[in-house]
Amino acid sequence: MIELIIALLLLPLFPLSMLVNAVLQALPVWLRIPVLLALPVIGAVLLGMTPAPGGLLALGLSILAAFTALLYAWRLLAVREVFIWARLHATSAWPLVWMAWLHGVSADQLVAVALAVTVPAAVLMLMACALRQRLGAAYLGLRGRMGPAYPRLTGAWVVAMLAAIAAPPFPGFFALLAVLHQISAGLVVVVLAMWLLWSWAAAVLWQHALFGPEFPRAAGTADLSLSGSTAWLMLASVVVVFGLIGGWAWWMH
Amino acid sequence: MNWIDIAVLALPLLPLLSATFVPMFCAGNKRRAARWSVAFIAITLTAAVALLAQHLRQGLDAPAVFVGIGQMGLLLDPLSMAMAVLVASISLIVHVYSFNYMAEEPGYVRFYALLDLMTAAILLMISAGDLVTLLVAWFAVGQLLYFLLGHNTERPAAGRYAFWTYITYRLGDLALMGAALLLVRGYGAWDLPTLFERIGANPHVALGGVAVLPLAAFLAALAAFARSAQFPLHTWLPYTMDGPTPVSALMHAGIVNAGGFLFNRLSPVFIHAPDVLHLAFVVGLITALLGSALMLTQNDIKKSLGYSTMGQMGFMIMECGLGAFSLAVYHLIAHGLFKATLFLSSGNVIGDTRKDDSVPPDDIYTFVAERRPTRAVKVPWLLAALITVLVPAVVLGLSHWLVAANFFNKQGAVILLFFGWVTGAQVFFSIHKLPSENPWRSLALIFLSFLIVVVGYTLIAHGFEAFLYPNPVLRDAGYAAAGINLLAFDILVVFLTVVLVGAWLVTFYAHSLNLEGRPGSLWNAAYLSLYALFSREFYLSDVYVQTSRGMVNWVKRINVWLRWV
Repeated sequence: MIELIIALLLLPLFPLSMLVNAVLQALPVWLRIPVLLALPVIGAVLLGMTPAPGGLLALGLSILAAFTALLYAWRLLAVREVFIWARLHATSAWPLVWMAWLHGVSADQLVAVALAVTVPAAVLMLMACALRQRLGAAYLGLRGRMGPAYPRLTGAWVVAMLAAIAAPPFPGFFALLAVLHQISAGLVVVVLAMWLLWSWAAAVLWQHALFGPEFPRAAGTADLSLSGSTAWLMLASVVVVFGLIGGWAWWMH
Repeated sequence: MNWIDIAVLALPLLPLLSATFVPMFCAGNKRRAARWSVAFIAITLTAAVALLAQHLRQGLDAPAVFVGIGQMGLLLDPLSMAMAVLVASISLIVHVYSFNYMAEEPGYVRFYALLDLMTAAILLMISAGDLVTLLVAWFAVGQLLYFLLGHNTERPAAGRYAFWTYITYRLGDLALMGAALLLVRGYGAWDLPTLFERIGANPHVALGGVAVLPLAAFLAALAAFARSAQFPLHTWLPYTMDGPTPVSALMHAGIVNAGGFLFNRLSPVFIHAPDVLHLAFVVGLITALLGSALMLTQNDIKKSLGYSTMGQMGFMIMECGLGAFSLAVYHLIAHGLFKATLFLSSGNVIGDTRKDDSVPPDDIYTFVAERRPTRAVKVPWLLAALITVLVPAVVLGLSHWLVAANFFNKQGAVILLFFGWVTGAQVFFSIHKLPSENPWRSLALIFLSFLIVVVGYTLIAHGFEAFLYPNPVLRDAGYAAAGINLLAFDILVVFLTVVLVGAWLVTFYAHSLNLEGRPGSLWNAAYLSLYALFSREFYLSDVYVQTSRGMVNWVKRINVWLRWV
């Protein structure tokens, strides 16, 4: 039971999710990313060590997880600040770990799901740092399309967004597919609705950042360096390859 | 691994390789990038044609080939081969066309890389041998289309319309995901050959008291409706014309017409879901009628073309609903080729018109306008009526009877013939309306043209059906599943006859009937309201926009209440 309570703090469901989000917002920027990554992984490990309950508790947790996933996915629609977008997105994705746990998914697979849905949010926070350095804030849509001013950074951000909304062939897609394969029909509908809201929210953000009149690059700022872009591209490729292999292995299993 | 396996794998891998190679090694020289991209797609087309030729050499009933590991892989069957040749051909033409057309646009290399990725995704989709690969490719096509339609980032409208397409496609993607999950849970197989085998052995599997196949078929049909712009999920299609012209052409190579492909790919599922086929027929019919009507009421030529595609997609889905799965593929190939040609030649038309704005004095023009007969001769009305009604029926009936005598036993086939008859009768009727000094010569010419078209079409359509569905049992099962009660069928045919014949009579006599009525009258007000309803596309886009704005406005307040945490 202790593990369950701690897991509720680490993989927060509403209303505890508000507390965790407030903490994440209050932390210095350099600390947000490790905390964002550590919370769900430790939470998934703890859940993996705890047998899934049955009866009313399981039903209550399922309903709470579904509500949290949908609420935070819906809230994404009105967010233009990338730091906020990343943490709300992660909060919307974490209930998937709960759903998977309640339906008997094994401990190592729970960690894989947690990582697959959280790493893109952490990468988005990195992107938000890069945007803040160049634009003064990671707020999109005020100036217009940023592609001509920072083409490499824009490309990297778009790829990170694709990973966050679990587009194929990123690992999130296979993680969602695996969770959907395990959970009950009612939760399947919830997760599919959440997925739709993620896509909608990402498209709204793209609309703000990619289209419109061009703005000049801010004085003293530069685009992502060539070496940085290459490293980013290689990282994304590795993630895709791991996602494909992992997803395929899971599915074969 | 023999050469066939390698060629099957090469179909999606070559464009994918091109999408990686071109931006990495040719980013500095955009012309070279385009040449490499064209070369990769040309090799892909060669592979597709070689596979088709090999299949034809082996004979029509050669078994499908599954290339993969375990349950994951690619499927080489007549459907994937026909589609691969279509997709690679149109993609190659679009690549070559874009070489000069996009030369002055920013993001030239990115555009080619996206074209390559899209070609890879479509080829993966059509050759997917398992449900996961199908889902990956199906999702990827929608995602890539967003970036292709929004290629011109200077225009916020391009992004807005790309968004409409994306969100509709994502709705369909999730429906297909639901269908796949149901099928896997019900039958325990991801790969299509095993899945279809198990469905054939036991089509009545249920989960929690709900039959799997009808629900899975319904969800898959929803995915097809969203992909192929069926009413009421059609609002995105006319606005995609805002994207680059090559993309509009490429959309007809397995993107907007992928709904017909999906019905064929999952035909063993659909033949066990007659109600879903009936739904597809109704949705397709409504879409065809509305698409055609909306096409006529638009004052924007590009939107008009978009609605024309919507109408064609309606016919394609309707054919699926009648169980004529192979005809839908034939239709999507024919429509893909002619609509892509129309889009790609639109620039030439505009250019020619700028050079010479007079009406071109071609044969038809001189026959109709310049040599207007001084003394119009009419065929006696009874004879004209008989020719209009009987000649198309006899030509259509005889040509189909000669190819397949049992064709008339299938209700779906009769409905298709009915639509053929309506079209033929319309042609003959319009000839009677045309003033001519020698109407018999006109009739003879039209009769000969009609005969050639119908006989040619019948031979090709039946040959194509035998190619796609060599197993006659599966072929007939589609028509059987689409069949309905005989009385309901007769009522449907009478109803359709009255509606369609009435509609084109009204269209022909629109001027003399004075449909608008007197200005200020109640009839005139009703007429104008109806016209406004059509010209504003039934206000569906407005309803969707207002609903989504409402959702976003509400969530803004909630975010403020919850302090953004």
